[in-house]
Amino acid sequence: MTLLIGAVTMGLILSLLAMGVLVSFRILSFRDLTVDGSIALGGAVTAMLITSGVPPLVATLAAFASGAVAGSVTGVLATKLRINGLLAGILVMTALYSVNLRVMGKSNIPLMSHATVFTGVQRLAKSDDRWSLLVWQAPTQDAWVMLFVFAAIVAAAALLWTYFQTRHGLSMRATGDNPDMIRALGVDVGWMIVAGLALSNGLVALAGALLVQYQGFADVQMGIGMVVWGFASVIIGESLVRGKHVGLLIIGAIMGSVLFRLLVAIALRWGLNPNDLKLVTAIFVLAALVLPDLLTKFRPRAGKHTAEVPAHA
Amino acid sequence: MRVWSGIVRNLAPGLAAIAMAAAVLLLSDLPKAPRSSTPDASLQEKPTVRVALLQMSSQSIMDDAARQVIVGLEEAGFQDGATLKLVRLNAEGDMATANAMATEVVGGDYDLVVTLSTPCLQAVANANRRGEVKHVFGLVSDPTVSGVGIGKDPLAHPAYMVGIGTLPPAEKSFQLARQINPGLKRVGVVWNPAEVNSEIATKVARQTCQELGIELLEANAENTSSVREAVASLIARDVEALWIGGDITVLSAVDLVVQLATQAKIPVFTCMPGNAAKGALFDVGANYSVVGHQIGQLAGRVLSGEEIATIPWEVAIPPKLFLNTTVTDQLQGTWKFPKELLESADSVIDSTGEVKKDPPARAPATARKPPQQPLEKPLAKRWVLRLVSYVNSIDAEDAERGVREGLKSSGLVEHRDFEWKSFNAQGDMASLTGLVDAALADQPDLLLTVSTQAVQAAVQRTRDVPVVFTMVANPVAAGLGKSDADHLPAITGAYGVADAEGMMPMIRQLLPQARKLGTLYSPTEVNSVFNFEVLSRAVEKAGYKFASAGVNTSSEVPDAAQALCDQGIDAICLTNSNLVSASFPGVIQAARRAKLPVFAFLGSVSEGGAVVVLARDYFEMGKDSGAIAARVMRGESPRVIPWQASTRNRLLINLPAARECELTIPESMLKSANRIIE
Repeated sequence: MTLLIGAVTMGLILSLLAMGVLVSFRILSFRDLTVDGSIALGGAVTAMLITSGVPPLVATLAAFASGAVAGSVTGVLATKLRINGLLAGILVMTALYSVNLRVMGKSNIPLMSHATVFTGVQRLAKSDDRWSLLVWQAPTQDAWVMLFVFAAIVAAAALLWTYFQTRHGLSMRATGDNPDMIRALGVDVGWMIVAGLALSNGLVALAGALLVQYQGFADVQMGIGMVVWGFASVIIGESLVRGKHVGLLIIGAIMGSVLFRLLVAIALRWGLNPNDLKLVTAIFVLAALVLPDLLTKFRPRAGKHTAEVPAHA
Repeated sequence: MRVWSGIVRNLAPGLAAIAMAAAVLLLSDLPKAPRSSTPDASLQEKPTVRVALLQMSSQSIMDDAARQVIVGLEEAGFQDGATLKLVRLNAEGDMATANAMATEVVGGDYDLVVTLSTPCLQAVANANRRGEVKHVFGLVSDPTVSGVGIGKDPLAHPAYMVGIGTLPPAEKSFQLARQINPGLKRVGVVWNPAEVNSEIATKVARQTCQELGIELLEANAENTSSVREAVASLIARDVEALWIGGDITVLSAVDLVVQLATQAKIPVFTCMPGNAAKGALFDVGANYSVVGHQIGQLAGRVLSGEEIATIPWEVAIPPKLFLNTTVTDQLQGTWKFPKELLESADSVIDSTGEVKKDPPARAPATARKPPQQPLEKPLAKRWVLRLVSYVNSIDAEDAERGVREGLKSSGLVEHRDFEWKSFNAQGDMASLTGLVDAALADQPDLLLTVSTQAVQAAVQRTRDVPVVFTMVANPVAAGLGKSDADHLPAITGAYGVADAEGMMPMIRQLLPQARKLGTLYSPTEVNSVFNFEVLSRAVEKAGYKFASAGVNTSSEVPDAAQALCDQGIDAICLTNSNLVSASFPGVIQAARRAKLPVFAFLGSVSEGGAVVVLARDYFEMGKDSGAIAARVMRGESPRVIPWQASTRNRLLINLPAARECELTIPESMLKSANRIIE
């Protein structure tokens, strides 16, 4: 049960990363590799601010701002200096590695003795309280933290969805779908991409901020490989929901992230040879991508549903 | 409505998939049947008697005694799980909890309650004033002053309560100290005012010292972590010896006390056997494990139906004397064992090891039991060990091998004493926490961690499971505590940085004309950074100029090494880091081109071409951690095991590599080498 709660919590935290990747990858059609750097940047900024006495909530929001700055730099490189988008992301990601070291002052900051955004929630229960469901037990504190993270993610997703209903948000979506059309409507496509990447990396940095507070330390290497998991979550998410509506995509990204962490947890729990872990993870992800499709094929009636969906939308 | 049902239908596959994964996870996480001493009564043959064993705290000495109680019960024919259902309760030092537990056991349909320590005796006696349950007590200094109705006369006790008193022979110990050093004037004692037993012993000591004309200087320590300061304060006040009565807190940190005393060249003498072997001058007293064993036997007699009212309460077996003659030479003042004392002692440790005196023929078998279990003895239970690593690297694998080696050389055998599984996050920080959770889901008894990140993740995820770390350069900077002895309660292990200072004289000897040294390090590895800082301090102190290059990926190593060699250095002195050691061939190639010798601190690079390796490496550190893990498995609480700084060095010399750089290794250095590659 502890494992389940831990996996869901981690999945929810990293769903901010997935939402960030969703914005750049799906909405803007921009393959942004800044993510590896900006998630660690968010963590670094949060850890540094918390250890120097800034309230954790402020530190978390500052992480969002720092990520947004990193994203805008990528955006400016890509649109104003006309550097290939992939390369722009790689450049900023690489630079952020050193920036993160500078921000933290060292490669690892422990947060164990400091209050975090989770501290208040954890106080709702005593450290040895157990919460039980049938035969499973888990520390009540962990359960509260999970609920808190869930609420925070729902709020973030709702804000993101609301933003995409505004005029600005609609223009951003159109920028990704058809830049020529939106340019003809008098929108500056370049600045739209900059804003989108800022939003995307802000969300990613927010994930980093929550991650360091959850795991109790920030480490400069924490971003390595994250962008891949972000892509994986978004793509798994798309296979989990039917439809292309932006709200569904957001929910899909969250579900993809949670499902992904669950699969990793199962792989971990089965205690395979440690060297096989990543192979098994990859196989699970593959299964998650392929199975929904296969299921649809084997159930001919399900095809009808998908056909009906556009009628509602 | 139609929109909502549409949304639900759109989300259905995802929700179903998540639910399915969660179910799989939950099923694989089904709680196992408890492995401990409380088997499910309905499945087993109904136990005949129910016994509660109540202890106040989980210090290792208490745990040892509690284990011996169980052994004593077994010998009396009450095997836990078969004819006995034993419930162990531990108040973990909290008096309110102890009281609640006392209330529970008194009203809880038990046939017998066994209490260890004075507060437990008092709590249960208080709840049990009407004699609802039979009660055997032990590890109590002086039951007559505990206010539970026990008088001086052996049979003057309530008809439902009997036990064993263990008044530390404080008087005797000071008399002996006087005998060994007739000029003894000032003795220091550290004690915990919260321990009733200790207070009683200290009172006796005050009285005795007054009579003997010895000045007794006292310092208080509320917990094991304040023992160091208390001892240091006494030493600063010029005590000539340190005395330990029955104080559990101080005894738990006795290694530290002995260490500090040795540095100050003063002896330690105690009222608790087992410490002479650890470097105390002498012990006189009864061992708590032995007393625990007697308590178990006494409990067995009560359970067999003997009438409590007819059993006398007693003072534990006559105190035994253990001497350690190896200590006296290094002491200030005249400490000399009189001949008759050496003859009358029960055990004498001299430079050849412990010489056991012929035990009296009629002494009970248990009294002869050595205070510590012999190394080869299997553990009482099979420990579930889980090891969590953060990355795959040569160093991490070395460390893991070292841990296994350390367990093995401590006499523990896989499958007999422990079962082992390794987890590796493969460098993925997001998996690390999940990995720790997965390791915890196996309900391990002990978690081993390799690398700083792994121990940090472990600390964040559990407070209950003891953690022994390795491959950590600086645990204080990792946030695991304030000092070696004052650390998070469940976290201990071995740490260390390479012996940079030890390397400098060797470089000077081999390269007298050298002016400038260079190194590569990895700024993103927390361990590498500490090693680098230590090296740069050592280099500066030795008067060399210093050049360095940081590398972030292994592909940068060859270029960085080349750049370093171009900076006019005379030798490369390579700090330990995952990255650099993994791409060591890149370093050695650049060094060969420039004809520069490479000095390093990592055993594995010696064969790769480093001329001199002063290895204080992760294999050795792993071995130290393995030995610490073994101590935890033998019952010591991690809280009282200080972190251990690895200090062992192995000197490895590669002669072909030396020839290539036109270096001749002096004979003296070859002689002290642990390994020479021809």
